[in-house]
Amino acid sequence: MTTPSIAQLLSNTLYYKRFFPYYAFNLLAGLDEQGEGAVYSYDAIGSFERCQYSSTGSGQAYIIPVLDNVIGHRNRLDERVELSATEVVEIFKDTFLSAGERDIYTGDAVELYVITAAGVTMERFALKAD
Amino acid sequence: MNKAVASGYVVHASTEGSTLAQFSDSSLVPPYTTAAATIEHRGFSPYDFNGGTVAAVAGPDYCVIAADTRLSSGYEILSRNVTKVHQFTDTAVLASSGCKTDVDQLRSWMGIQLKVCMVWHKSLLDSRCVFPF
Repeated sequence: MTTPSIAQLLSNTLYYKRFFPYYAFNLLAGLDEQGEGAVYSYDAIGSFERCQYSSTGSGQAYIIPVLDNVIGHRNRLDERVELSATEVVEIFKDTFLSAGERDIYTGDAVELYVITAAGVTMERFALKAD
Repeated sequence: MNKAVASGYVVHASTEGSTLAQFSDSSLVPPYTTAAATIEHRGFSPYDFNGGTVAAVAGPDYCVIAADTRLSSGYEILSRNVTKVHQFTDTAVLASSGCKTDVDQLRSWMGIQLKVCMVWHKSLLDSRCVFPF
């Protein structure tokens, strides 16, 4: 099943419980039918949108502005550079480190998943355990 | 009506459902009775926030999704090593923060829905149609 179909299915599943919602803030990531990366972000009752980057949870306020600048290339004047998967992983490590410093609920470790046509790989990165 | 028990204690047979109804002050014991209504569980919330952060980025031919592994409740850490990520298919990965029990149930239910959907739609070209779901 393709990622856009799963995205729609998740939205419908969440809306079934519109009046006693799942208290879950979801992010769905995958490859679409053209092989391009797809990220869908949801609210608790199934409203969803495809976007280039997103973050939810307790540390979202610390991470989203960084992604706006680095991934979305907002508020900067230098030339836009295309980022590879390994570069994005390194950016995520720094971002989660910073979020973990300020947010008490974020820490211990981060699991970083890279999804490509070849498959899914996972890397675990340790954060501060305080 | 008093009833003598073999051990020698006297047990007040209660005509109400609660065995603690012998206490005359009904505001201390559930069901709490007030002038307006009868409240079964005072201050109970079915939701708990178990914390955590997830983030994802889409590229031209890749996707990166990350989630921390801390599970907390209030100011306590319940676990340092609980995954927030779940893989649905070869290419689709879900990461969720919020109430862990709701997340687990949602995953479980989504897994079932996916299987049912694939049984019904295996002969269709996949697109954004998930009728009748």
